[in-house]
Amino acid sequence: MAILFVATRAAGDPATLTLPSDATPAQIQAARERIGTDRPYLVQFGIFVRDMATFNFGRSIVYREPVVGLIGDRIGASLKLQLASLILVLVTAFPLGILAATRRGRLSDHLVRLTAAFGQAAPSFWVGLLLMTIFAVQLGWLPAGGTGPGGIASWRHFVLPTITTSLLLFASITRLLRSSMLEVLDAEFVKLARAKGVSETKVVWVHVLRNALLPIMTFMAIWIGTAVSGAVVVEVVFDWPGIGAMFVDAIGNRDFPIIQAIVGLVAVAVLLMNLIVDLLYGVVDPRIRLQATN
Amino acid sequence: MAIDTEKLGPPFAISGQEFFVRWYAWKNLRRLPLLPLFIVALFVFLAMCGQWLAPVPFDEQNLRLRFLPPAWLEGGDLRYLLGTDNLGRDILSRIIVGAQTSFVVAVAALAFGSVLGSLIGLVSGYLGGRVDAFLMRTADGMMSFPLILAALLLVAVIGPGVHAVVIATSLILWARFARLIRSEVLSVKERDFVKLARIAGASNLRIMMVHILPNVLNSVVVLLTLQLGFIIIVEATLSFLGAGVPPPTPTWGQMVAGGRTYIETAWWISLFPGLAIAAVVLSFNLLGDWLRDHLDPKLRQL
Repeated sequence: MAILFVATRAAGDPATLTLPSDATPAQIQAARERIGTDRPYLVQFGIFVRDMATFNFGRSIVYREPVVGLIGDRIGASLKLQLASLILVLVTAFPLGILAATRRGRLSDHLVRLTAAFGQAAPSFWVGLLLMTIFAVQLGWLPAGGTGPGGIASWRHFVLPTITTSLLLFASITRLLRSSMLEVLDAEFVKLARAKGVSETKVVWVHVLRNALLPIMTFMAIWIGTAVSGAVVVEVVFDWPGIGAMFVDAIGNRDFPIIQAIVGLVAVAVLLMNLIVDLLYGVVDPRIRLQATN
Repeated sequence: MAIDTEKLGPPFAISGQEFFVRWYAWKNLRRLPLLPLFIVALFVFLAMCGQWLAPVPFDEQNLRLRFLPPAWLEGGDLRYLLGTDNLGRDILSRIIVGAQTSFVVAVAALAFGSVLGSLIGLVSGYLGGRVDAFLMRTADGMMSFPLILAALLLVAVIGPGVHAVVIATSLILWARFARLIRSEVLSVKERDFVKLARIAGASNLRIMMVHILPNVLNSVVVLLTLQLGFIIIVEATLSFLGAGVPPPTPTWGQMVAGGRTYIETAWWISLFPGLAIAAVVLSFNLLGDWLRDHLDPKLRQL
């Protein structure tokens, strides 16, 4: 938080940045008093902490509107996009990761690994543009960007941004799942389950998957950071009216109330995600639950 | 005691066992991913001397030759193999010169990030206790915070340029190194030779630097290769968002962004720089995977 404060103040006085260059000293002084940058830094920091704690982010310097409302208008679009991508990843990465692990060394394994390696290496802004060129410009099947008139008009606007957003997560999870499944497949209890006559499907989906999930969950805890970064890029590429694109604009405009609010929001989201994952560990792995109660 | 040089044989004689060891090492080496290695070598070479290799000066504008398609398409010009952009600049030349920015940023960020992160990980793992808890909490915080957000903020504060991108990326990197090195140090410091060193009266500093550090360097090298591609992507993304190294220095991310407006008519402006990023990053990742499997198989989860 202290870092954020220093960052917002070090970037130059917002009062002088928002006024035209020929503003009189009196006008600048008035603007400073309005924003509060005329007071000592310690006082400013106190107010800053208080505002962050009470979700009072003030008004946007550029739009002259309360920041909470501005973000509220746009956060829905971001969340919808993230949710759609998450669902896409869940229905693609898990079957494919398992497929690659159980058919190790076969053609399907190589294909999945190749796709995943490419997904990790290709920058998402470029993949987005590529998809746009192929499916929107050349083939004309899908809209190139934006959400159509009056909010998100149809599922067609979702397709390309969702694929682009999910690519990196898909690649990471597939790779991680494959390698952790391979490790678990060698374990003694898997042999035991097979020897007991448990069906192969059940061995893979119940005995192995459950144990292979732990590294994935650790990864998901830090994934939210990657997700926000990805959202910023994808929203810029596809003109998506979410908070990622808003953040880039705010950086360009030195609109610090908005920057502060978004960073604060993301920090809270990161903390929440870590908490949820910690709790989920106990659900997935009874050993951790037992450790905690003892 | 005199050594009987006759009995040692000629200096290059190899015993049967030794030959087998060398043959085995060579056999492993032969499974080197050759294509990625070639791409990486080409990338480094272009980064070093791209300025002299570009067929056309990278900033030469020619408005009459705007939007030339790649040479193999109708209307293409052999002088401009990959076509020209909206200002009539040669795309191939700009890709060649742009390699330098990616390379410089990646090497500098890795140098800062790995040294800082390794030292922090070393101290954190060795000292343990509150220092460890504090340092690792900080690292966790850094790792889970969205790096593009942090980098954008930082670039907004200190202004665009190579230094800003390097600082931003190394700030993100150190946490990854610190985390890994700490976990390695935790296992190394329990080994007997560390205890013996302590009994012999070695200071903490000496134990860390002389006894523990060399034993974790392997992991540092593996992580370095694995992170190179990541840094190149971060640099390109920042460039794409307009927060990277500013023009006129060409960077690949900037070139993709520049072609964005023209994808309906001139897709090649964005396609080729992006392809360059993807190829180089993929190569670094594959090389890193190979290196990890051979030097440090226990890091497989990375």
